Amino acid sequence: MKPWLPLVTYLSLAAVAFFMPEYSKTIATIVFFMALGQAVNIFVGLTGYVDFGYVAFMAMGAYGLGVVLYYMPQLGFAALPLGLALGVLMSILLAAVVGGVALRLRGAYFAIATIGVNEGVKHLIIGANIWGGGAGLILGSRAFEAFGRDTALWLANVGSAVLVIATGFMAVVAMYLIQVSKAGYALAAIRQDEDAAKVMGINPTKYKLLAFMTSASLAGLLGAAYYPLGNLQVFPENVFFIEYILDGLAVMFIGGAGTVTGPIVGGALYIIVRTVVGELLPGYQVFVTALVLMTTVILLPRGIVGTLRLHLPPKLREWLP
Amino acid sequence: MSLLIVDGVVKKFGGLRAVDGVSLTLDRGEVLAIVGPNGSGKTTLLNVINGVYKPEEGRVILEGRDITKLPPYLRARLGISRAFQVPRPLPDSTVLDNVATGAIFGGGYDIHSAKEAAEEALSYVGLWEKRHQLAGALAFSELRLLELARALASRPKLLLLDEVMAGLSPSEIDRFVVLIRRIAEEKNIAALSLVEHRMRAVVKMADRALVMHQGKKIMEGPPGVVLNDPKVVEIYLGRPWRF
Amino acid sequence: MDFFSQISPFLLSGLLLGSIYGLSATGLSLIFGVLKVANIAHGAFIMLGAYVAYFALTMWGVVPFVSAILALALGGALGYLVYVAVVKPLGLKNELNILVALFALFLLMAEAARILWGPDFVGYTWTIGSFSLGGLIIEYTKLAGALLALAIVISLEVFLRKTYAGRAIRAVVQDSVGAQVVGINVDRVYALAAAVGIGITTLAGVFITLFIPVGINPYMGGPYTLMGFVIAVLGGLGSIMGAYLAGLVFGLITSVGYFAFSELGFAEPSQMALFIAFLMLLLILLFKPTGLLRI
Repeated sequence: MKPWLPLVTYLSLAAVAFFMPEYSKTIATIVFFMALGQAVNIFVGLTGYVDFGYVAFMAMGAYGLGVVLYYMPQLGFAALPLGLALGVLMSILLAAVVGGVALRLRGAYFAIATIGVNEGVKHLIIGANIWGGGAGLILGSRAFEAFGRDTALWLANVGSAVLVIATGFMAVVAMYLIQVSKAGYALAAIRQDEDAAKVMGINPTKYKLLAFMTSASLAGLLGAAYYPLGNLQVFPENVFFIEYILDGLAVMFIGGAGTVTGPIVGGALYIIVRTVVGELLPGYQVFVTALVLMTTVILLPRGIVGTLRLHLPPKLREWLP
Repeated sequence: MSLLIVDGVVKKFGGLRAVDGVSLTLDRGEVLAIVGPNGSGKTTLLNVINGVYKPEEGRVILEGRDITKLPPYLRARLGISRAFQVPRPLPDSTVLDNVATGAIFGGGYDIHSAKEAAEEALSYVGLWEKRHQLAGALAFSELRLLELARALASRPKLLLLDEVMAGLSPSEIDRFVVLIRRIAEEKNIAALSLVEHRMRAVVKMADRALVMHQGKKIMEGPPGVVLNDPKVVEIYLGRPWRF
Repeated sequence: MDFFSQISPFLLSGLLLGSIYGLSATGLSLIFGVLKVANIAHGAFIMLGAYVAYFALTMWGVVPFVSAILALALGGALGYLVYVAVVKPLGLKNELNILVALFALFLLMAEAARILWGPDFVGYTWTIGSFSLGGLIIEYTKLAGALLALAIVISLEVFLRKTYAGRAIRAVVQDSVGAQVVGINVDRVYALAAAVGIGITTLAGVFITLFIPVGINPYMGGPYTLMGFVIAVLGGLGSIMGAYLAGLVFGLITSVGYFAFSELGFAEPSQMALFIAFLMLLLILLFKPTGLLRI
């Protein structure tokens, strides 16, 4: 496969966000949905499993950076890489715990097992009153202290946009690396027939966990870019907002589950739909998203790119991964 | 040393002893047919050898190593490959990728050499022309060949063939029998083949036949002798007329 | 006050509520047993049933035990629709898409309820008195609800064992290919199971309002989906009486857990009870996915 089309798309969006800061926020909002779909895709699209507690990974990323900024602003610029690293690490750890237990189960059972994860972690943070508890972390003054006022504002505006785009970019790279390696063959087999995969010598749990943890780390980055960096705050009611998994699934399925270009196409269409609905029927966004997701999943189960690929000659198919 | 030793295997489902104390041995290059009517426990025995089921009693030994407790994917890496009764291709992958997947994980090849091994296995079974098609688009008899190629590409020592002639026409069966004999002789692979009805094929294909009935081993020996034994005939035809 | 008289109200209310929980999980269990589909939208139908109870009483003065019939019919029709419009076109093999479609349906129904009926909590009061039993006050409505739930579960079990349609359902649960071979129209069995399963779920939503008279709200379904699966898994997915028994056990555990956590002084005993439910789900799925109470 040739990953150039999606990579070039993300690079040009990053260039626009960087050189025309007045468009940064808009681009960040659009690419946020693309990158979310991209991250969800690495797990759901590649394994055929669905995690209804996925948003908890974004929350872990948000809290990672949030906690470092809040409690250690004296670190200065080092707080940024350190916070991002902590966020990614916490996302991966949560994925290892949930996946290590639940990924031994088959599809429907796994989905059942994940139903309570998001709420469970949220109630743990609020109930045990850790990391600011229900009141959350407000980071404005801490970010000013760590980075200086102008830089903090630039980071919130342009920096978060670039990080969101970078996450989408990295997701494409991760997807490419997985698909051209042994893991890609293993996951294709697991997705299509897990029993046959086992008999062919594949250890399903290992590869499902690999995809799960990769996907979780990207979701963590996204959470860090969006809340503590972009909005300078981490509120549990926001970061555990269950509808983000609805968004991620919608973007992925509109574009095509398991395809690399799909989330870009899906994200672009999705943001158009949401904007139009927001203008004409404010308050109906979630309703429309759920409706769109349901009809897409039923009527166009392979999504736009997935369906297109079916009808392309093999040579062109390479270019539309 | 025998390649495969199955020693007194018992597998129960609730109160039912689906496999009831079966033992057998198999050498490299040998084809063993396990014959028995529907429900005789053949497939369960195959699943025990394959690792899908863990037996309550008895052992499965491959090249002197006790593999009774190993999961299927590790057995595949040790050289046990399987073709399913109902072919289970990866329908959205190409024929080549299907076979290459078997080569990578069962055969331990890296991706590049796996593709070469896959092409070789595909030409061996006569499916090379279709390598770029999606497996879901193949005809039924081609799916049987695909499964065989996938098993071959994973460098097997032992092939488990689960009713692989079911659903084939008589001429296709003849070709399949020749292919299996060729694989056993040229590649020095042992094959264990389950057969329910195709007795003519058993005689041509197998070195030995083992008859199962109600979970037990009834008889074992040269196919021509075993299949003409009155006891075996009785199992298949019910009680003979008596006055 | 001695320990027993302290805890016995919790035991009793646990059993009464557990009976309703058990009823609500039978629908989930039946659908999983027959179609092998996890009805992620489960809680949305509970929510729908709750609103049926609310509107029937406040607008027409129809009491919950009568509006339950309406909920059964409405849920049954919707269940049939879910099968025909969601499950059937995707085919049972496409598990991912079915799960995602049902998840979308869950949010779709919650949002529709919010748009139609507003985001606020609503409720009703309906009492027909209460009686005292050894110092415990028991409301007649709750007792009747619990007993009716048991009666409905028993009728369902009788339906599954004695009628042709019920036997066909059981045959498909055990072996769908075999059932097809002996001439059962599997497609019809799937539709019937979806209709009966979701019908009973919606009906259970009516009964739940007897216990949470002011807890009706568009988003109330989420915890019920989680609890429904905990119970259905505990009882062994596909087993009706297993699900009911597990409901009783679950009612007891959460009720006693609530008691214990409030004694210990935890801030949020009801949250902790839900957390226990979630832990139970994981542990059972991991160690005994066929369930503990399967009958």
